[in-house]
Amino acid sequence: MERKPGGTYLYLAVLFSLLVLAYSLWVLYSTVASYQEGQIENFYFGIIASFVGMGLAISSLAATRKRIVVLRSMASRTLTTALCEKCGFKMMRLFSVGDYVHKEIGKCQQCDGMMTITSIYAEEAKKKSR
Amino acid sequence: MVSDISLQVNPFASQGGTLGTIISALMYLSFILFIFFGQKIQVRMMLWEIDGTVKKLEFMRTEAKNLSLKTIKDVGKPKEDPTPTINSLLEQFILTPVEMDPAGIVWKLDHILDVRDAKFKDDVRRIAPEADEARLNNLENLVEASLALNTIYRVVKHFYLLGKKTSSFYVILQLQMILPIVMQEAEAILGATKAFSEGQPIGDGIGALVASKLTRGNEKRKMEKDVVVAETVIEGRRVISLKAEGPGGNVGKPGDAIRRIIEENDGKVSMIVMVDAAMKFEGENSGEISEGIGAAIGGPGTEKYKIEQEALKYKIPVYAMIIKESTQDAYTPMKKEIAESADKAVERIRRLILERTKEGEALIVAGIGNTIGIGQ
Repeated sequence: MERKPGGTYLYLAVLFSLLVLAYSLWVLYSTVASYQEGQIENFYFGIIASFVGMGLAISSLAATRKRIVVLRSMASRTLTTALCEKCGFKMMRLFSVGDYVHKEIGKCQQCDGMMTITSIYAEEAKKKSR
Repeated sequence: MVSDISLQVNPFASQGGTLGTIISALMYLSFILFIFFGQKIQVRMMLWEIDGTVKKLEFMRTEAKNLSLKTIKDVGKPKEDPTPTINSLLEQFILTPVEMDPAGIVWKLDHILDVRDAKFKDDVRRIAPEADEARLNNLENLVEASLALNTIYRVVKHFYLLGKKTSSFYVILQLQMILPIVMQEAEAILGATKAFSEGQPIGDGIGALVASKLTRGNEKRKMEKDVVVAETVIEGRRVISLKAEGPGGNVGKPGDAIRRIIEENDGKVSMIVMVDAAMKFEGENSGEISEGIGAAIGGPGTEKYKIEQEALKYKIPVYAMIIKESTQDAYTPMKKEIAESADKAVERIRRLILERTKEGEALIVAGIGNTIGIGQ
């Protein structure tokens, strides 16, 4: 399977943020226990530390999500559609250098008509699996 | 009572411990710091953010330059290293004519742009001697995109360093305010470099695609400055369609071509329909079609001026048909929804022709935009 550039960095960033978030939640839980035990100083310190940790983790996760969305939108493939004007046979393939709209690309597979490129367009990666 | 209020304001005060005192002192200190140094801290934070953007822009312009060099070496097979020429082209500029006496400024600007285009093409041809005409146009577009990215990088870096040097809050603030828009444009141009290197149609070429679909299969003739003209008959009306000559990256000079067609027909042209890609508003869908009045053409304004002058001279109505898209869509490979709007635009042009002209009349349909990846 092809590895996307920057993928490892994104996974590490998400993993680190999740770890910080989990630790902050654990600190928050411990803080509540400290309050019940009457350790007010620990309680306030824990509250501040856990909220700062959660804020940083959530902000980092949001930034990573934004980055993933941008990378996904950049990953697109270009398709070439060709049509036989005689029998209407339509063919679709990946764009290759040298293709252009209205170019005649050879004989039709169904009849002896000429296949002509009718459109070239980019399709976003998320639509591939559909 | 006073202690109650102090408890509400600062809960740490009730503790009386060392930690509470330290936190209280820190809060007061930070409050005082923000009063005296708030703007300086804000400036530092803005500079930090701009610094990241400048580094990103530097990466983008290097990417574009490397792609230009690679494509020129692959396609043009230069005998010498093209790097010095590319470096020189990336720093090229034009000086616009003096505006103190605006009479005739359009023709002066037109002349300067012609000289610039000719020189740019010659320079690219010199470093890509093996490239055919279509690939040469693509390479020219690719180097122009790299030039645009280089210019954006230099301008942003200039104001960043100027702001840093003078510590001017307002210089830095203005730069930070426009950076999101600048980055959108830069990302779109970077996307265009891939399309230019491979010769893929871009969103801006939708006008050319519509014009080519309208007169597909009819005889074509070339007009001066990279424009192709074809004629067809729709419901008894003579439709003269024009677009830039493809499939190389080209916008041609449709203003000159329209003027010549009108002169060839002794001014007897019942209407001009201009089809072009235009900026959509946020929230609108790419590929939507809108109709309006006036010359739909972008650029420095010289071609628009010529078309408006001719239309006024012969009292020819000019109709605009625009296909909406974002800046990114215009520069990057043509999206499916934009490509699909071409057939709808052709239908609407047919309807417009039937509504606004009579049988036997002649009219012009001009497909405006970069015709990269679109043949005749």
